[in-house]
Amino acid sequence: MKARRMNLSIIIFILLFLMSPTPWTLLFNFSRLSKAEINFYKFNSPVFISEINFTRGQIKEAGIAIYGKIFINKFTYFMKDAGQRYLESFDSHFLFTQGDLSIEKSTRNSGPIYWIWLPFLGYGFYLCYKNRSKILVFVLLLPILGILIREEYETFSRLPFIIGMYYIVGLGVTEFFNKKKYYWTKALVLILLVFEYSRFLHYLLLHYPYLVGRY
Amino acid sequence: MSNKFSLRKVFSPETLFFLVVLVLAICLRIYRLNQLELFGDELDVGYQAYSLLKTRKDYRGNFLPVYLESFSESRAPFFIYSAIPFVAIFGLNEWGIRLTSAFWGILDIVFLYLLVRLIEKDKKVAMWAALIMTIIPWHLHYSRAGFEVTLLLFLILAGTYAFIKGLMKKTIWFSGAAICFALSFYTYNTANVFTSIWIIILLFVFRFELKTQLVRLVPALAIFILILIPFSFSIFRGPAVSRFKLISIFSDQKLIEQIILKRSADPQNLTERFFHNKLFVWSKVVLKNYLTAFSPQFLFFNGDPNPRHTVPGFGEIYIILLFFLLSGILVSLEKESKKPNIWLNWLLIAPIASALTVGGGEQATRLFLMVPPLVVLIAIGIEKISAKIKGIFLVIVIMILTYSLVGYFHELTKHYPQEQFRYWHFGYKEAINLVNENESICRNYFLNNSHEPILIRYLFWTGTDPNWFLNNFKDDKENQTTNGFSNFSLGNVFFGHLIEENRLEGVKRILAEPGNCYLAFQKDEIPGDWNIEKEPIRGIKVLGLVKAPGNKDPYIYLLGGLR
Repeated sequence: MKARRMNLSIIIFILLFLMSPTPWTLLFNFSRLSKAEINFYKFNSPVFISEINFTRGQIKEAGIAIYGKIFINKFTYFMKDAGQRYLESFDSHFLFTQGDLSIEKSTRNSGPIYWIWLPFLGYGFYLCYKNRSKILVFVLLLPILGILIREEYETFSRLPFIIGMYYIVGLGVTEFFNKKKYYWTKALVLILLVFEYSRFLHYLLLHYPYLVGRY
Repeated sequence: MSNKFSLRKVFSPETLFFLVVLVLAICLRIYRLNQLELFGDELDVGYQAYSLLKTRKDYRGNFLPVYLESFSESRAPFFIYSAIPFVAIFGLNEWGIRLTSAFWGILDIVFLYLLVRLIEKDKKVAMWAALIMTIIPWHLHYSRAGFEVTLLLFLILAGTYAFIKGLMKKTIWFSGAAICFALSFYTYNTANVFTSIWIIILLFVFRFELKTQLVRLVPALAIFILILIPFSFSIFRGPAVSRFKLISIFSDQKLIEQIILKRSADPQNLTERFFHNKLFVWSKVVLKNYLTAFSPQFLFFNGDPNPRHTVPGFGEIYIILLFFLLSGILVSLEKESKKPNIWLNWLLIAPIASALTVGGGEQATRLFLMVPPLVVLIAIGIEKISAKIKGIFLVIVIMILTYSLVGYFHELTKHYPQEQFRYWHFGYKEAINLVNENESICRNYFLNNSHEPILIRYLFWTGTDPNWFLNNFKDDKENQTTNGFSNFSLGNVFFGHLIEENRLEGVKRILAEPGNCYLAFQKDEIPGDWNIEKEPIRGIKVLGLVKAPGNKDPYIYLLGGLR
């Protein structure tokens, strides 16, 4: 029974990911994106170092230079920046509203995850946490890849994370649809999914080509 | 024996710790409180309070109004009424206005401590909560400026505390809760949504306790309704909702334009109407705003994009506290209790009101009610982790918190006033003081009104007698022209702007008349970077100059004629 449910959740997860905006948008612009360069994050960027020097100067001016030496150095600065970049992956603007900042990797009309999946994402996370599932730790580690790329809110480096998030959504959806009540809510979810999906396709096929200069 | 007065109890480590936190809170909230100039809303609060103090009317002449009428909008009254004692003691200046917020901000900390002790039944969590609220940028920033939200937060905290006390003790506590909750409607518009939902949640969470004591709620309900009667009239007459109409997403013309633009791609196609309509766009914006309020970018890294609401480069909460917040949320979710968690519920409903407004997802003022649940969850997280890892852990946390606080406070008191002065409408205080100082030279004043509305600044900084103002003021619409200066006047002061393109010529013409003085702005009447104090203009005398902080560039001039 447990194995069947697991299989079902994997099928649902694959289905949900394939219906999501990300693969469609990336395929739509495949020819352009395949030529794009990858810019890696530079730990020794001059901007980075000048910011450290500037902040240290301010702290020295305030008469607490020792604090500046302990807390403002390449390591702590990188950690803060890395933390900010890590958390970008969980930003609602990235996940639900707009997605990637590049118009070629997102329609900018929706993020990689449809709004309708938000409650299921929360529910999925709760289930993983309750069952102390290792997959949760794995998914939480995946945004680290996003730190390595210079562009902020970048999709390619966050693709494994988006897939992981869909896996968690899948868990939530499977668990919810296996319950023997809430028929009306289930029907509503399906209607909203159809609406979200058709809205996305409508935008992708009718409005998006103008934005990326396909017409 | 147990009731016996004991010094050991009074001077227990908890009490001493709380007193230290309180002293820290007071110091952080009043140190250099006057370093930034008062911005428009603060001046409005101050002059309304002054007018109520002197005439018992607002400055538009309404006797003890339920909603105060300002030049630009209607204002919720309670914060202004609460500022009267401070204005009476300290006068019309930064201290008179901002100490009101600081006072309510300090009471927020006291009542949060009491409420957490009551709900969590854990002194340590309460102490951590009080400390965190004392030092986080969000609460600190708003306690140092004349915003209504610290008072609103006090009313919600005190109301909730009284309500829960009422469940255990005397009925009078329920009446206290009713007064606090009802007054919150008169404090800040966010309360209209938040307090309504919050009362329902409290009634639901404590439904089993209330079942047996419904009769005790009747007097409280009567008080609540009684206090809200004038408010409901204000809703129907308009002033209570006029502000919401201005800022709500439902009246945002940009969203309508977006829909029209999308539909114009294929106007005959019905699918366009199906996918691009008000209902969908509004829901999307509300959801987007709601989730943005929880985004790490807003909470921990950038804060409110408006520099008046946040010190740029800082989030609303120190990033180090993120780990404790997550751990606090997990601990609260895991807690085995039949009751829904009060803090999580509070956190979930706090952004709703703000989500209904344009840009509400990152508007720290409208989201201010998120502060207590976030702080308490952080405190729960710290307590949970510190119970597991003792010793060095606490030292490290306190060191990092100290560093964060010192860094933030240094930025707030040293660099922020120099860099963000324009957002605090800098220059008007000094400029109006120049006007005051030159009374012997100037017979008529022409004040440029095209940057920020200058009338309220003139009234506030000159300390104009509200009785005189009420008798002499007619209208603030520019309905007359004097020497090519479109204006309205108050006594010998003309507020307005020059009609002609070549403003400098206009200034020269006005100043050619003996006794006329003109308040001019750099890059407006005075073109480019021309410093007319160093390179004077023929026929014009610089009576006074206000320089920008930091680079000391000329900013505002008081000019007179040479004759």
